[in-house]
Amino acid sequence: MLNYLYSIPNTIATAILSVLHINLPQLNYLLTWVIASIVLIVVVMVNVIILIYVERKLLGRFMDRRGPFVVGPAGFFQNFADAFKFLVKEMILPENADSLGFNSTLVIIVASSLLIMTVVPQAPNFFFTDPELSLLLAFAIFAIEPFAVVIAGWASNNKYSLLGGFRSTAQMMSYEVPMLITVVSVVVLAGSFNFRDIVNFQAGHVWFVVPLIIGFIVFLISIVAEIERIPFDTPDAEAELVHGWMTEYAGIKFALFQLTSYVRSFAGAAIMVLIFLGGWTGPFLPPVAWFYIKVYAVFVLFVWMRASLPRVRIDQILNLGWRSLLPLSLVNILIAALLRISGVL
Amino acid sequence: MGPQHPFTHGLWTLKVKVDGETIIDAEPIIGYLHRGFEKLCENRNYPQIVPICDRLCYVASMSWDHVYVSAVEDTFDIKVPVRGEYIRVIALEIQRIASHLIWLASFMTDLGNLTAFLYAMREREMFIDLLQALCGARLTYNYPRIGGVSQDMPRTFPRQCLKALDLFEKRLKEYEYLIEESEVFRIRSEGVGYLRPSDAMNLGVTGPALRGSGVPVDLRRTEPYSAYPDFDFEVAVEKGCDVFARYRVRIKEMYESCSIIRQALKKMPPGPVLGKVPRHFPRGEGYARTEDPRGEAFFYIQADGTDRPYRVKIRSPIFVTVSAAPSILRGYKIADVPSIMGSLDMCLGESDR
Amino acid sequence: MSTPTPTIVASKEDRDYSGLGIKAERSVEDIVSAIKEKFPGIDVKVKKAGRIECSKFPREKIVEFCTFLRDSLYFEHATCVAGNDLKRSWEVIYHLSSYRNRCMLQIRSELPRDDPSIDSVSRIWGGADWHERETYDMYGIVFNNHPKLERVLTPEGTDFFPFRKDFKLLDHWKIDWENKGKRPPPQPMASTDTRFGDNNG
Repeated sequence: MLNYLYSIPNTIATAILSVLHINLPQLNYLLTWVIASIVLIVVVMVNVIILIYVERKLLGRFMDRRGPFVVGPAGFFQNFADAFKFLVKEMILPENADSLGFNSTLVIIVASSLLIMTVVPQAPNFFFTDPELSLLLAFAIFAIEPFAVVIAGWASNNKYSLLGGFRSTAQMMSYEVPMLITVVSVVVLAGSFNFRDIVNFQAGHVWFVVPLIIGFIVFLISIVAEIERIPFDTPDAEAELVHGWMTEYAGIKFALFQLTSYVRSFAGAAIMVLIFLGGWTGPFLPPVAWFYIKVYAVFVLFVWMRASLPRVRIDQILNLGWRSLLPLSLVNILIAALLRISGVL
Repeated sequence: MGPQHPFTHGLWTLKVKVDGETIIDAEPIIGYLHRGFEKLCENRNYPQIVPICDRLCYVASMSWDHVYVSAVEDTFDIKVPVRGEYIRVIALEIQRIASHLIWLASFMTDLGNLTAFLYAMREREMFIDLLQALCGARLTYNYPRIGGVSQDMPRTFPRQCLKALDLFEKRLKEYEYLIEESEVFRIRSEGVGYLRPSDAMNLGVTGPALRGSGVPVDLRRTEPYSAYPDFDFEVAVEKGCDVFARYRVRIKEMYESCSIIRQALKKMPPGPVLGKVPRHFPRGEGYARTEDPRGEAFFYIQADGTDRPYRVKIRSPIFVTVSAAPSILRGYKIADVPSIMGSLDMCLGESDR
Repeated sequence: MSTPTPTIVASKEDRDYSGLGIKAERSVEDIVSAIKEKFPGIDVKVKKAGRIECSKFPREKIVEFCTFLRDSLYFEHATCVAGNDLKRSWEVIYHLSSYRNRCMLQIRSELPRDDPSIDSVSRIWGGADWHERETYDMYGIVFNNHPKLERVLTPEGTDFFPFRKDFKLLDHWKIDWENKGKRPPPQPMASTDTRFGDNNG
């Protein structure tokens, strides 16, 4: 099937090179991927901006206020105004901070979060890469960020940052396990680590949310913990840790971190849609439309959780992860195995 | 933690000694807002002190005005007309609800729930509007006067008040549902910040924190002042001794305040609102203590026969409650600090004076 | 991974306080006579309903008296400890309240000008701790055996006691206008021992 994220950049690259009268297949290949990356980043960033807007507006409605409404139509450009504000702010490097660790973590975190989106297909004809083990790869990239967070917390030379970094690692350790076991149950049923295969399997049978409802709930909680949103945002709990590991970051660095957290939310919601909610399948509308409808629906769920729940304490999060979610995920994998063996699915 | 830290509502420092994330010892440091209030009072004559009493606590100005004027009335045996007392009670209870709502807002922010913050602030607006209708000011009221209150309530006030109360009671139930039914809130608040009743009494903790420990001491009941003996209300007590119990006490108190306001509006007698005040103040001493939204507020006045007090001493409930904080905090996690200190309802204006 | 949350169970020695303050157990007159029986030389009288006054209290007896009040007469709560500058002498004013008997007791104890010290009651009532610190902070009245008699409202290292009647703000922070309005460093009070001060009014 035609992949637009490859074919369109390829056409552009070929056109550019033919205008310049250069006939180098390697250069064509390279240019194609560069343009494709840029297109992907633009797509993701546009989505992130819409997500932030949706979150602000929805949160405002949940809280019985209006949300942003001054800049642009219905306040849509408020995010841009905020970004410009962050741009003109001074970038502060704390006096005793380790500048290498302090700055390199920014690159690692932003890059790793964007990298997740490269393996997440958005439609059968819109994906960046499609490796055999794309599901596994996505979670491997997901798990890079907490290490960078520890480095950031350490390099900031601030007690709150350090505590935030440690918390982030502890939280990731406890939530990665049930989440991956849940993912394994999906893999057991679908028989593949590939997102496209999983979606195709669901299209042929049933959405995995139906047989694996326990796994869906475990995954929902774990993914919220993984992307560190309320109620699991202890690494940057402002009431006790000021802003956790982000305390010392200022200006555009802080803005990038905030943006990154939404990229991760987007990626988390996308993965959840792909492995549990049937991906891009759906009647009448084109696949991309269904994909985005579902992703935004999941994101609205995240916002809803944020609006109605207080923050959980760090040791309680760990207790919840190890004592409740892990057994539940094991039960879930058992159900998946039984379904597979009995031949129901 | 602090003085510039998001959990400190106001300006104060909490030195915390931790082992990992467990608190071994804590020491609150206050005084950033010290204005020499008592010395300031010595240089002003009696009526001039009322407006600066507003500035003692910026979320419960009315109750501080009231405790000051009651102390002056006690010192010079000034009689207050019944209608004046009734209006004062209404104002005090509205102030209590507004103050508890501010507490609810800041407490829920500490726990990370911004929705409840905005809801509580929205409700508070109604009560601030009511107080504005009474006295024209929204935060620093300067409404009680020595011998009564500065002006009678407007004719439309009872209707406006009842309307607000009806709406508020309905919404308060919603908040209870939003907050209490949440499992996350329960695990954050239940069993956290244990304060033994005997410790609470010995350490001088008063107000909702004491009643949350199962001690049914409410000065409105145990040492009735103003017009409180005329009203029928329950003292809100919880036996949990933890953060959740303190939260429940405040929620119950809001319901009780609503009922007191309704009774006061119903029984409101006619008559003047401002009594006769002597031109010259004799020698003497007196004190008054009232149930502030935060605990036992106390004013001691020594008069030396001039128009200025010789000595004014203010007992702020939070000043003492903060001193008890280390014994509550010990053994809990760093992450519990906001919820425990939030449940005590800090107000630095009155504790630093 | 994580230590369990401390779950403290109410110890058995804690009484049930649910009946507290509903009705006064002993009348004020009863309390006054009990005090007079135990401490004959003390001037104690009923001022008005629910209020007992006790003036000119000898400072040596304060701990003994307060222990008696707490243990025998159920004065569970120290409302307030206040200092006062009477110009010729110092004064400490205690306000103690009893939830059980629904009354309040005021003790005024005068201290000589040259030795403003009195025994601390913060071992009896933990709530008096910071009030005594504040009184020391503002008046320089020393409370013996206090666990931590330090500045509480004024910054650490303050070398004056701001609520004393002889404390003049402008005297202390005098601005040297001849020297381009620069403020000289804070001068210590005349006495070298800042804890007591020697200004005799």
